[in-house]
Amino acid sequence: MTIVRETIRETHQTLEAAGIPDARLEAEVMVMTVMPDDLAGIIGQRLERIPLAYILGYREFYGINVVVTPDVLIPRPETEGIVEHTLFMALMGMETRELSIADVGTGSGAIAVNLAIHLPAARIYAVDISEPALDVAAWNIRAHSVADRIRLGHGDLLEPVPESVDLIVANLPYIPTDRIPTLQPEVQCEPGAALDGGPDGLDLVRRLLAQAPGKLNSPGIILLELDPEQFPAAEAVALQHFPDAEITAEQDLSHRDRIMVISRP
Amino acid sequence: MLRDDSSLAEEVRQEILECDQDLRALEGAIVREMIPRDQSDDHSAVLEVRAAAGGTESSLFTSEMFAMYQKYAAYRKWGFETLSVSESELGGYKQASASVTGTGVYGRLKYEAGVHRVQRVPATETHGRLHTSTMSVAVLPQPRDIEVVLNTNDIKVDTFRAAGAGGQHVNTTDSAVRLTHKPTGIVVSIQDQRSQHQNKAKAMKLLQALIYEQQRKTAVEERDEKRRQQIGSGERSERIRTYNFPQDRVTEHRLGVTVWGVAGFMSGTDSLDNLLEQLSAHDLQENLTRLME
Repeated sequence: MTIVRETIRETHQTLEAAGIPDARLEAEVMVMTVMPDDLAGIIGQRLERIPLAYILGYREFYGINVVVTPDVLIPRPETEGIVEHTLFMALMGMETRELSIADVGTGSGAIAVNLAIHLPAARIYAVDISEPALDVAAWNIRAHSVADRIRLGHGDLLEPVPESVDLIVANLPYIPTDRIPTLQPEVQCEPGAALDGGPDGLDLVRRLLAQAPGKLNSPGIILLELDPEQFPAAEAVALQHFPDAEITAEQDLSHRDRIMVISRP
Repeated sequence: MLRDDSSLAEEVRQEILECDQDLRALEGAIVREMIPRDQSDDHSAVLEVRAAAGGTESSLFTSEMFAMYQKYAAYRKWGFETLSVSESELGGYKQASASVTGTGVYGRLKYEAGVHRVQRVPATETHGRLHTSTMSVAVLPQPRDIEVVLNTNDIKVDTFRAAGAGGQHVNTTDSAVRLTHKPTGIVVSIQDQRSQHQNKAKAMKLLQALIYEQQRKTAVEERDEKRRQQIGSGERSERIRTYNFPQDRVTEHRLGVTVWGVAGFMSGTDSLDNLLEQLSAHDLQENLTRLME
């Protein structure tokens, strides 16, 4: 036990000296997850600021392990809120129905897979513009045995979704282009296409909302992850396409607006 | 045909003897049933270890004690799930807690509650001097869900990460969760690499145990003082055991008993188990005696 603790302490110091965030926690994870022979190699990769999730090949999300590669965005804790609120909406009076859901920009499939696990009667379309991302999503779908509930689709936003759905969930890229180079090195390792939302970050959200009226049932709900300061602009666009909708904001654990909920009557 | 008087008398005498034995056994059973038992004895438990303020020795010993309980849980085939760990920058643990699950866990581990004292020459000691440090153990029964009803409105959930843009902007391993129970002011934090969802679940478990313990304490304090058990009251200030490394002995102060072989004891197997058995038996005896008075 002392050897393990020593190794953790040394690893911690190495990571901290290199400015790696959560150095202590990452040191523990590395030492406890990786065989001693492989540890030096893992630390070496981490010192190049490759995210730990890419090195280990997975990230836990909403209680399940989601396989990730550099072709997909690493799921964030804030995005668990989308799963939580979607399940809440789905289970409130809609549980006996077969719900149809579109997860747009599914990436690793983190959201789609979790929804499928908790909604056995749902019909889920998980779509993305990136084929490599869809390969990762396919893996996660098989790994959690929910292939009977999720169909993958390749294309731009809602285009590959074959029918009108009850719920649209989307964690689309929402970072303004100019801000990306200022972010952590770890974030720079993630696919730019999964982060870049154009000049104000809302390019894809705007296009999604324009496509949505033709692909959303009545009643229907859209859940979008955004940055707090994007809410006013996004709400204006939403009302443009859904003038009768009720629009609310759900906060993340830092008490910031994070999820926009658009309820079409 | 009638049997003669002497063999009949013998039979009757035999029967009286047997009835006497049965009577005594039944009396014993009745008395045992009357002994006030802690209702939480068959519950699972939350175990908490805490270093004394200052000093590397205390925090190192604290982490060794945590390891001992982890091994003991494995030995007893109980579940052992670490809930929180607070490392000391100098090495070892400032504090750590775990959920230990199984039948009768609390009834066993409750005797570990109190202050443990270690006497040894620390690794960092250059002159070979003997140091004495302490650490404390707390054991809380884990309530069955139905016993602690928590109103979600009473609980504030947040994170203690530094302010700043979150979401897609940030890529970190930590998804920390903090729960505040507003009515009691109890705060529980879990900082882990697990998902936020899992960390919330762990935090809720810990919060439930802490609230339950508070409720229990109030109920216990309201009971008749004379009937309170001395062992197992879990008062943190009681110095219950000394681990002397140079003399290779563990002394249990409540029983005045010495166990030889510190390493063997801290391997969390037979040695520790035997001592807990003794403490349990002694506890029962004490209760019996008190009942008779």
